[in-house]
Amino acid sequence: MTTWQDVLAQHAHLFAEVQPGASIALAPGSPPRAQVKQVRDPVPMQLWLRGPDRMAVVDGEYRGLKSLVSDVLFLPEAGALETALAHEAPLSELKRELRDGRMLVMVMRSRSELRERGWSEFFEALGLPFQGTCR
Amino acid sequence: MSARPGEAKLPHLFKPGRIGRYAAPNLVKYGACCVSNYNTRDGFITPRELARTRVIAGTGCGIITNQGAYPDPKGEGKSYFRQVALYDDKFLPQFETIARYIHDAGAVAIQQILHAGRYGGIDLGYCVQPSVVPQTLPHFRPPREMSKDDIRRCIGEHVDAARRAIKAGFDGVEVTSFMGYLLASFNSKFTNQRSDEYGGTIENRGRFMRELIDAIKQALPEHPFIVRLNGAELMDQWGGNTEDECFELMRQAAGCGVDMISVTVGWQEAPESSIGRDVPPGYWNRLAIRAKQECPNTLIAYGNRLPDPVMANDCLGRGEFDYWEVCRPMLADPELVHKAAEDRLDEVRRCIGSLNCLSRVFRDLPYSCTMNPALGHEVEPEYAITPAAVKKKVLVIGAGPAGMEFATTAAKRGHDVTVIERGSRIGGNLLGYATHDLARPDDLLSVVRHYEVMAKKLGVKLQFNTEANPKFMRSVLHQYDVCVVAAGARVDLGAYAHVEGRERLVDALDVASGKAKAGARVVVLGGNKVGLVIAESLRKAGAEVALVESGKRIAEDVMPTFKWRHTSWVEELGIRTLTLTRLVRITPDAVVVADAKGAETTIPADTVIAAGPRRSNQELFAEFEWMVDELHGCGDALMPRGMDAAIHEGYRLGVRI
Ligand SMILES: Cc1cc2nc3c(=O)[nH]c(=O)nc-3n(C[C@H](O)[C@H](O)[C@H](O)COP(=O)(O)OP(=O)(O)OC[C@H]3O[C@@H](n4cnc5c(N)ncnc54)[C@H](O)[C@@H]3O)c2cc1C
Ligand SMILES: Cc1cc2nc3c(=O)[nH]c(=O)nc-3n(C[C@H](O)[C@H](O)[C@H](O)COP(=O)(O)O)c2cc1C
Ligand code: SF4
Repeated sequence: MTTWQDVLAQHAHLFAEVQPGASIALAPGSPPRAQVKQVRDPVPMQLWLRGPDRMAVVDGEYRGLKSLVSDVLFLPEAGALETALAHEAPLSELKRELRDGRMLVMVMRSRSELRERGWSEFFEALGLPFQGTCR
Repeated sequence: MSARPGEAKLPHLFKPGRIGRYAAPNLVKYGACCVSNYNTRDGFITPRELARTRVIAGTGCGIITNQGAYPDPKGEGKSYFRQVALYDDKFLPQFETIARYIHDAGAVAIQQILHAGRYGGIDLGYCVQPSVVPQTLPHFRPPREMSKDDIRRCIGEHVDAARRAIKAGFDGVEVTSFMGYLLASFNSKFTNQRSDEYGGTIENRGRFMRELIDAIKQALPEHPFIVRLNGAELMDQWGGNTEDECFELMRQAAGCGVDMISVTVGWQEAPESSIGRDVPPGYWNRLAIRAKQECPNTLIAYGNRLPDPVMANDCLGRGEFDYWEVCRPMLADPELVHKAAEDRLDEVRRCIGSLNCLSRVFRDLPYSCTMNPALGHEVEPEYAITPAAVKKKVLVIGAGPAGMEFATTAAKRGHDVTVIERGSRIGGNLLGYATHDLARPDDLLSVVRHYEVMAKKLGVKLQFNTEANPKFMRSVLHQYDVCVVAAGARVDLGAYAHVEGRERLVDALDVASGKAKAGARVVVLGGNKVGLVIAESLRKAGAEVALVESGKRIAEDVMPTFKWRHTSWVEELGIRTLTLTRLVRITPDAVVVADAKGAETTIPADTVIAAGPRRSNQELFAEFEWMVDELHGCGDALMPRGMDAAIHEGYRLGVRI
């Protein structure tokens, strides 16, 4: 069965510039916005963490925004990560989930820091705009 | 002045109004649509801006709102690269000039104060907010929480800025919370998570707004005060305010005695479009109607994506709101109100909702408008339409947007203009674009209709079904002083010369114009704007469509605020997309493509559409060089780009020739 580790490895080119130590936290919840709290009781989260040579998937605990050290926070609806993984193209499905609100994103650093930390390619691939959008 | 003929047809729009002790000549409010990025980086208004505001003052609106100025010296409220400031008297002279322009034109002058809050601090490494709620768009700065002292100081800075505006000669002041600025972030339960008296219940969240209103009303009791408030935030997925809560906040504002509430829609971060081309005119009117019902004793101004004066007149007539607040339609055509008053609505250049204006503002560039090439260049005489010193006979080749914009502009200057066109009507490739557009074809067709009307009114001669070639040119030798090649571009089928099976290729422009028909299984080569529009339209009509793009991403040539629209259509419609993929060969029933590593894939296809690269129709330049005195070109004929460049170039050539 495919794991997120396999997916990250398949798309290694999107993370080629990501700096060691940079990470994305994925904290599922329903509705996703329920996790937007400064402090909360710990719940399981997944970290996509840049190691010396590749992205690694690590388990962690989400305790609210205040103590989060990741660069980016993904808030998938409960079950959305599993749905994406079962899909033939998990990243495309993730993108769809982002678009229809089954997954939300918060950025924990400034745009230039995110760029310096190497996230531009991945953000572009997900269609996360670097622009403010008055639509 | 006696009533002009159109005023009787739009009696509600042209009814005199009143705000506080000020009389307005009609019920049209120029919405603050002017964060222009024309000013200095440190907040001073430039001659370029003054020239622009002179045009705004002359639009004929009863109330005119000058662009939002940030009120604090640190620039925490500053949201745009060249936004104007009002935190010191040193800025006053130019504001005085603007207030004078507005009064000279007979309108009520309102100065807007714009503290961007969550979207501010553009020159700082942070922004200020009621609570630390991280950004959802990387474009904006990381947040810092405001202390109670910060809140007090911030209200004080708003009051000082308001006093300064009045000192400069403005009649009243407006504070905006448009699209999620500071006021909106206090009101919202998404961004306001405070546990003190400024957060929690809706009563507490509205406290900042009420204190702000009270402070300004106390400081300036004689002067109208307006707030812009969301009728809907469109932030449900983030737990933003519900519509009911938005209206409760409006009632709070009304209760504090604001003179007018301007109803807006959406936040920058909202996933849904609020003012784009895919939103039908009038779509959000219900919010204004409810605002009027809930706050019957407060003036309600409204106009988001309500570009049509006839619709607005009807809404005013039904009492749905009190002032039509217009913004982009006035950018596209600053003469809109005068044309309506003179019963010349057919001459209006409609705002097509392209959002080129805001795309540019968010790229830190001065704003410009697809439909109004002179916008932002009012200070330059070179951009003005002035009588031509030498009246010339001009031949234009091509009735696309570039050729027609040139032709109508040149005709306004007194030139004698003839357009020859291979096809049977005005529009060029814009017609094909409009036919297949999923957003709002009518907006694009309005551009074509405008040229049809203006060509007729200006006496531009049109010769259809006529191909310009050397033989034709010889037949009209010495009859014209000027020839303008506006013949557009074509798909460069020569680029596929080496491809096996290329005879099965169909030209995307032929599909767009209806000359060629596509089957049920289509492969489109080129994920650019032409390829995307065709792919989306065919898919919508039921075909199975795959899009093959040799570059890394699709929609690379699409303007920033519309890229997301294409990528989401592609996904919603289920168009298979292969990027970093090149065409290998075409077989009788399929297309073979290869990815970056050379791995081949076969895609079954009964139609293979070539959408790129495009190539300019430039041959005529060489052929006509020795046949006419002046030879010029504009639009895609110079380099394939898009509608904006075609219109702007046609105009620039028209004012110069
Ligand atoms: C499907 C599709 C989607 C598009 N999507 C977008 C988009 O999203 N955004 C955007 O900005 N643009 C888009 N465009 C492109 C846009 O329509 C063109 O860039 C624009 O029309 C160019 O204007 P133009 O006047 O320079 O040339 P054209 O519109 O191409 O007009 C040229 C005219 O010259 C005529 N002509 C050519 N040769 C001769 C000759 N020898 N004698 C007489 N007449 C001649 C042609 O018949 C044509 O009417 C799209 C186009 C298509 C087809
Ligand atoms: C280029 C541009 C600049 C704007 N600047 C402001 C501004 O300074 N303050 C504000 O409250 N709204 C601003 N707006 C929003 C408009 O006032 C208006 O609410 C919005 O464009 C929708 O109305 P419309 O459909 O008539 O354009 C701006 C809009 C545009 C397109
Ligand atoms: S650029 Fe587009 S949206 Fe903006 S005012 Fe002009 S036509 Fe309207």
